[in-house]
Amino acid sequence: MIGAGAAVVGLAATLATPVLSRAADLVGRGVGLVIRHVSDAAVADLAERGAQVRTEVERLARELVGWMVPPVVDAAVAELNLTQLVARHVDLDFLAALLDVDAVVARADLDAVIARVDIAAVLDRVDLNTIIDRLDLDAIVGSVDLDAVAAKIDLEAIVKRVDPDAVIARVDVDATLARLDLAAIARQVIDEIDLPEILRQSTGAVSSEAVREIRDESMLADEALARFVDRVLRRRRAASP
Amino acid sequence: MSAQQGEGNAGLVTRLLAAAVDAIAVVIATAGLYLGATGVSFFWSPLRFQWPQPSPSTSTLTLVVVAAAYLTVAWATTGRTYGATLLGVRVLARSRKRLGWVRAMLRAITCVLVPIGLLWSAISPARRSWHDILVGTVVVYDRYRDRGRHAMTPERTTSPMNRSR
Repeated sequence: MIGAGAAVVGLAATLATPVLSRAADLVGRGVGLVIRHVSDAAVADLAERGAQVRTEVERLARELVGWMVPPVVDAAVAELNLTQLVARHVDLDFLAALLDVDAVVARADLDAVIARVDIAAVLDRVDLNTIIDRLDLDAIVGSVDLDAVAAKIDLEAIVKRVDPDAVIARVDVDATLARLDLAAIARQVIDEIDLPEILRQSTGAVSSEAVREIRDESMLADEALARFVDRVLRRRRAASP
Repeated sequence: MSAQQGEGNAGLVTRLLAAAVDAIAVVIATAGLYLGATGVSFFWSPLRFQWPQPSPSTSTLTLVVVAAAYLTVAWATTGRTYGATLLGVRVLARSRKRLGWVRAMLRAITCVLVPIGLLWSAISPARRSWHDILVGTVVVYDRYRDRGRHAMTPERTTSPMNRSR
């Protein structure tokens, strides 16, 4: 069946080829005849009309494209998963390396950005307790050189700026005293001190000291008087022991 | 004669101070005696009570008797009166023994009647007063009482002059 078909087609082609070449020759001659006998004015007229037609066709084509492309593109995009496509075919790392982040940041109005941020809301969402639990405060404090910090503090200047009168004025001495059980404290102190024993010792020490002093002084006076008398009486004193 | 004979014997100043203290003690004792006698008189016959007004001679005699008794008892028993205790001196026999009652009384009477004899201790090389010479006694420095030493042991041999002060 197929072979018979092919044979028929081959036969028809063989028969039609001379006829078609002859017809083409006639049409070519006719067109050449017409071109030679057509005037320039007619040609110009035709060119103008051609231009008008072309302009009209272009306008129609643009309208057609504007009318047809959006739905087509939408349909195409809907069919395509662009995210997967980009992820599969685009080297994002390379693109990121090309980005001048500094320039981007420089162009950004950070103040405006911050002004738009609701910091209170952000803080509300932060669980400070959790953060603090995760901090190793001992390690932080251990790494601080407190001596160096203290050395940098000018205590003199700080103290000079303190107004002792104002500080004392803010202290409620009466209230402080009212909280103290002075009687109990006094009793405790007196209980701790063996006052009678102290009085005994001190008076005894004072009196014995005074007596000793009197005895020494009188003995010295005796010696002085004896020397004086010896000198007056021209008595020879033995060498002192 | 060397003045060193008086070494260890109390000098005039110390003995005068002791005598002054003793005089005060005697006056106080006499006043006490007077008040005591007055009290007894009051309780004996309150209705006829009058403050006794002794004559000067009676008062003097009382003072002399009280003083002599006080000195006798003190020297015969411990060898020291209150003034002597305070000044750290003691009256002893030359043998460094305690006086007997007789010698103590003799010395007390002479001391009360002729107190000026005490001044001789300033002139005497051995620092002895008339009473000492008469009765045979010495007045020595004796500061061991407070330390519980024997009362008759010889007194200190160093004077405050020799100590570093």
